[in-house]
Amino acid sequence: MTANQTEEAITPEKIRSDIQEFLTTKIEVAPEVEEDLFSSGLITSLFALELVTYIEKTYGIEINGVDLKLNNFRTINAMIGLVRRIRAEENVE
Amino acid sequence: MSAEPSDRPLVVIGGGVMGSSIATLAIGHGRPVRLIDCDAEALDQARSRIGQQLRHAQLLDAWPAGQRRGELTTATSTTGAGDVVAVIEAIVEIPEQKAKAFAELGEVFGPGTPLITNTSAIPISEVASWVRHPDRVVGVHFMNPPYLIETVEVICGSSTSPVAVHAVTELLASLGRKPVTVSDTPGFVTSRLLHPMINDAARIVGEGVAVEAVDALMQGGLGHPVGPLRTADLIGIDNLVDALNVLYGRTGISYYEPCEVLLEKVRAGELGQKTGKGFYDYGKV
Repeated sequence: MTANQTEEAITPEKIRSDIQEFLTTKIEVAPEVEEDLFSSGLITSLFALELVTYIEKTYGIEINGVDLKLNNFRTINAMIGLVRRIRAEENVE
Repeated sequence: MSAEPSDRPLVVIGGGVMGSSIATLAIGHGRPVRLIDCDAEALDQARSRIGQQLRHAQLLDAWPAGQRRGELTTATSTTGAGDVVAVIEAIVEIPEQKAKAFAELGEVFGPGTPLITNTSAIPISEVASWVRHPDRVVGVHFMNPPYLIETVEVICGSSTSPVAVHAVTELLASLGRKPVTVSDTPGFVTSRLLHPMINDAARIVGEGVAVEAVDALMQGGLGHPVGPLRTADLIGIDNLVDALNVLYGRTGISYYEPCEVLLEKVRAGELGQKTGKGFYDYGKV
């Protein structure tokens, strides 16, 4: 667990607002939670890698192996699901 | 007895944009890589770039299922590499520097080791003339990023041996690449067509047309994947200028002479994605 996450619980709502804020800073758009970020042309695969790194650092998790797939980063909801599952598996909650 | 072909390391010369991403391609296909650059700092940067590129390709499902990664080693000199499958040279596109590198490679690696150049413009027969045992020199022009683009341009020199061609073909197959073999002329097919187009696109920008307008028309109107100016940023504008100079120097056709807009970008250090700014701004690198 990263130090900056000790104060605030990692709720789905918190993850959504973190990711939307990150996207707003980076691409100046706040996509809807079910919007397909790739087919809408909002992000490239190279930017997706930035998103992966951001999520890993923010939530103190590692995303590897079968989890490191574009589909897991296609929508904000998919990312929320991934973060919650990995955190549950790693018992970081 | 030598190791299994797939276990023998690939030597990559040059830790820049192409050298590191060719290393990524090989490592992702399970091939050990020895990456060589005289600059230790460049090797450190290459190692971190390769780590990111391995993940980028995995994100895009570009690696064979269940494939273990090859080991990466780095070195600042060509000596001590041992029994290797081949050498791929990917240093700057400046003939004098390539000539110096190949003279050394020809001495260090035995006559049975294929020497591959990733040149985008210099004729392979010319490269071969710099090497002891020129029959083992083959051109393989990878496009950036090589771990995502399967098609590679293959060129033989006038003295390239069938044995060398066979070894290189096997290597490319093990890396999942699809070779297309073409004639040995300056710029081969891809650079001869692409580089003058980018040069002209830059001239048009110099005449006052917006960068975005040029790319939007070529992309949306003519189906170019990203537009010529974004492609210039991806290649690296310094490399583009060097390759255009090679084309100009070897054909005498003034159309190939790098235009003022490209030269100005190089002088300003705006070399494209790798420096964070070229025709487009990429933010912090």
